[in-house]
Amino acid sequence: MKPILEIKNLKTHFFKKEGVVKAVDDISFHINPGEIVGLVGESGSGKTITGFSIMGLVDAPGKIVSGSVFFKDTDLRNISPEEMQNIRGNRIAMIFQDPMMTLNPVLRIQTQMMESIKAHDKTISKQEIYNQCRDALGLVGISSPDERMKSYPHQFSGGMRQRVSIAIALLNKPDLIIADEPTTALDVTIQGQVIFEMQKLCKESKTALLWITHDLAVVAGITDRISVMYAGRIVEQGSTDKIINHPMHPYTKGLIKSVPSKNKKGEKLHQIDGMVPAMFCLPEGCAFEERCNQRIEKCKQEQPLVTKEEDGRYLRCFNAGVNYAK
Amino acid sequence: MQNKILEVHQLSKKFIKSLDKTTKVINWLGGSYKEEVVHAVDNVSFDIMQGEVVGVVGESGCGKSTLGRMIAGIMPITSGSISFKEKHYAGFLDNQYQQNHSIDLKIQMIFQDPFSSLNPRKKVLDIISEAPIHHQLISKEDKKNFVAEMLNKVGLNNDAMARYPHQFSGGQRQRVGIARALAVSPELVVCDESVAALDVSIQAQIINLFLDLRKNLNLTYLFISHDMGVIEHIADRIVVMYLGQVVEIAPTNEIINRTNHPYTKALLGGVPTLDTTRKMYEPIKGEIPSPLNPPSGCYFHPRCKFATEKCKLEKPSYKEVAPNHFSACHLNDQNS
Repeated sequence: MKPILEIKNLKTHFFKKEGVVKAVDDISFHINPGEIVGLVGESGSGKTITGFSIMGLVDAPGKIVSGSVFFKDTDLRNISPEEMQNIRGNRIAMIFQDPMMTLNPVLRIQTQMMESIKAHDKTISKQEIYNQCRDALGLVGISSPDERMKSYPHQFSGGMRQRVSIAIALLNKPDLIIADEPTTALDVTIQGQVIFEMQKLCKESKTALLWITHDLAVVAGITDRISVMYAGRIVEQGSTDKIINHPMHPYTKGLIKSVPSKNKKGEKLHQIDGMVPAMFCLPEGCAFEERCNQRIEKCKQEQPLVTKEEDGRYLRCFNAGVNYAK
Repeated sequence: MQNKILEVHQLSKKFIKSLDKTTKVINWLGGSYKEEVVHAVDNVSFDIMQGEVVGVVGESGCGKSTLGRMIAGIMPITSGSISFKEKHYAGFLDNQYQQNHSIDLKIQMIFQDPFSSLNPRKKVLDIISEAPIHHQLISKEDKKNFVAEMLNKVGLNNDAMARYPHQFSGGQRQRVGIARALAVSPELVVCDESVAALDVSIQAQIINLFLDLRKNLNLTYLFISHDMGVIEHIADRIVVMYLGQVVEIAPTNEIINRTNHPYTKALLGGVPTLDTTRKMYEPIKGEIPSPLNPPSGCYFHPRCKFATEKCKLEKPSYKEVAPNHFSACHLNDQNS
């Protein structure tokens, strides 16, 4: 099967006064049609910039330095802004974290929704567009969509607003949706509802989904594959089952062990000491070396390269094989 | 039997949005606009024992922060009473709010956002020592030694005291916030979403710090969070709130293994876990209703899949379904 999105050695750097911030540094991954892939990392690990790089939304002082982003057969880095416009919002859609910020507060929901169809297809009649939009609202579980089409964003709650952004993302039946922390701003019960809708819709329409989050637990239940990012690099990548149940990279292991519910009540949580290094003075060797409990001499001097393991996962570590059995 | 450290009895908080001039004039001319009243906390009663960690969970807008603020004594209460070691302390109604230093100092609060809860123009040295100096717990000469000791307790280096809050990361700032709360040697600490703004790996560090401090300083916590995973891990007893009311109170093991209230079930079921086998979520329907006009009867009935006619009409009362396990649900009447 040909992947719908293939990223190869992508580097997105920010050129600042203080130095070069390597927000995304040499990452490669792919997404197959209809697949749900999770991109997990702490804040500042470059996961959002990865999403922005795919969508062509990186602003100065940021720049994609090298690498390629293939969407089907086109390299998104080599096409004109007009062609990119055609793909963005049409073939690839993005859902952002904060549903309060993504909708225009002075436009009715129907105006905003209809706009996104009109921008890509000028031939359909207004009535047809309206019908499509209304159906999309109904599809994401908003009751009485006809009335709701006339509302303004402030008349919706956070969860409803996120549903509207999901509906807008789905309007043009994209091949790929990039969801950047779509449930982080929501309550637990509403988060469950949104995850449920996304899962259902992607399955029904065979849309591929890149789910960007800091929360391993959220992606554990819904994704097919997971990539774990740390300081701008993907440190481990593989099927969800392998990553969650048999992690190999010390960072992934630490992350999984530090999730509260997995530990016994009242006992000490496993903690990863220290904190993420400052992005404009990354160490020469592995960025995780300082916090790692499996480090060896080599880690300090050399950057580990991506290796492909026997079970199909990709890994960036010199010493991952040790303590495999925990 | 342990001693009660805090007793909250029928505590309520109302927020009233008073009428503006135009509506007052319309009312004077015969209109019938009413003031909008939000019952942020409605008749909440529970106890906290010495050395216990009580977790409060609920969705946003259920009044858990308001509850924490009233207990910490930084928000006046509307009715009901709070007593600390059998002394009433915030039993003053609105407008008559007075301070009671000896008790106020024993209850301290740690806030959610480590970025906005520290004064950006003060050095850590002054942030931590301000309260104890004001209350004459330490002398000005001792300031440095005292702050060094406090920083040591929360796992920061001594050189942190000469720095400003913006020079720290989120996790370190939260540590400074904890040191500030501990500086007046409190007995009860109210943690309002204290780990919610932190990354997973840092969150684990701070939770461990809370557990260590509890052991070393014999602290009691009221731990407010929306994250069931965190609460499950740290709390001895859990209070579940919905729309300003307590729907279920029970020891942690009891509430996890024998959940009684449908809302608690929904909360527990909605938590994503590291389980890779469960592939479909089954969420509860609907959203938290507006507290301005809550539903009749049981507040949860529009979202509850077991709702009956009775739920729409009558407010359920608390029943002890098992020892120390209280729940407010009509379903318990039918079973017994």
